[in-house]
Amino acid sequence: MKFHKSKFAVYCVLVFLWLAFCCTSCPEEGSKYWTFFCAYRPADVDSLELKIVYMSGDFVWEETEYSDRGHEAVCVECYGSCDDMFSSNDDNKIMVEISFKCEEKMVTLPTYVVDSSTIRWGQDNINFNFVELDERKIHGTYMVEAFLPPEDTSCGKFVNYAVLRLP
Amino acid sequence: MGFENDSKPVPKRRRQASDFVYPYFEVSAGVQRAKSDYKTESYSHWYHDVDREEMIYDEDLYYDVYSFEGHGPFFNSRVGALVFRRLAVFFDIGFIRSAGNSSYKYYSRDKEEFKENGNVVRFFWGGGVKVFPFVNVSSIFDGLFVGTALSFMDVDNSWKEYEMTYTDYEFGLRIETGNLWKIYKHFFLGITLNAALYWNAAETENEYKIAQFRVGESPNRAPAGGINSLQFGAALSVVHR
Repeated sequence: MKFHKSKFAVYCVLVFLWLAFCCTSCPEEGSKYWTFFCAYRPADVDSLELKIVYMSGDFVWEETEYSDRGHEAVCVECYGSCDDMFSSNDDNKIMVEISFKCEEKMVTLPTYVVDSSTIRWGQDNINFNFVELDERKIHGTYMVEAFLPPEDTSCGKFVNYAVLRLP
Repeated sequence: MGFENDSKPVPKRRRQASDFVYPYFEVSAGVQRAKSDYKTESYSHWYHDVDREEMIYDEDLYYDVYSFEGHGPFFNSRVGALVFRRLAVFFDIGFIRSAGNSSYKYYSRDKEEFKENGNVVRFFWGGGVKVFPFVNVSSIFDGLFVGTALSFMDVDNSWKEYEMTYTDYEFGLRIETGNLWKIYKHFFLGITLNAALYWNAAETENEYKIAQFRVGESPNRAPAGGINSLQFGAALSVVHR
């Protein structure tokens, strides 16, 4: 069976259109937005509390985790819910509140606000770690965003308690 | 008639590899001066000033700042082949043991420095060549040689004390010159002057960039600078060739 040039050209155009249609209509897989926060308990602290407050428009949602002497770190992760929440609104904000507890004394660190203007909201992950900065003990790639020393120094000064953003 | 056979020319024997390739053995022992320096460039460049309780940003910040300087015995042995009586190609294995002083600082800005007297033993292995340019020349340069060897050297054993984990070995170049005098048949005795440069052999700089974030582990980053270890010395060599 002969396949004429003109028929072949039409065939190619149809295949191209079919592929273009598929690519545009295929749903994106996986969550678009994913957030991950981990706070590491300093050795001098008995327990640590990590509270993440998600704000999307009028909708506010928070999650709290605790770490005692048995745990080195606590983490809060959000993908499905955050994806739904952030996908429906452009005005998003995340606040991180960390507290140390030592000998029945509770010390609150300054609230860290993930600045939506500096974070490229999209496919990028929002991944932050809060830890005493000693690079002889930290493995991997990170950027130092800020330090969160508490005003109340009952548990210690913790001037090196840092916000590390992971790429 | 019998004279006819005697007058025939003797056929030339075909040359074989053994005619111009000879076994080569060398043993050297001497004294070496060894110096090594290591420091890692800070990744974050933030320094925790404990006295003033504040964080200081310093573009010129380093951590794991370590140095050693000492001297001691040096030994190496070589096995190979001598080609055309002028070029020796060999495998090289040996060690250097140095007694001296080491110093260590957590960070370059730290006032506190740990100083210690100790011994460092470092093994090396590799291969190289040695050239005898003036063979069969009746002159004072008859036994003169120059040589070079590429080798790996294991790490300074003092590192473990300070939890430094740069790499498992270093890579380096050894250069040498000297003179040999014939003492008996194929045996020669000589003096060798040598110098060696070693630098970090592992590409840890690339590894950590893709490593996952972890806390509590030594990051295993590469030391700054090119050459980390420097050695020079003199040895007495016995050569069989």
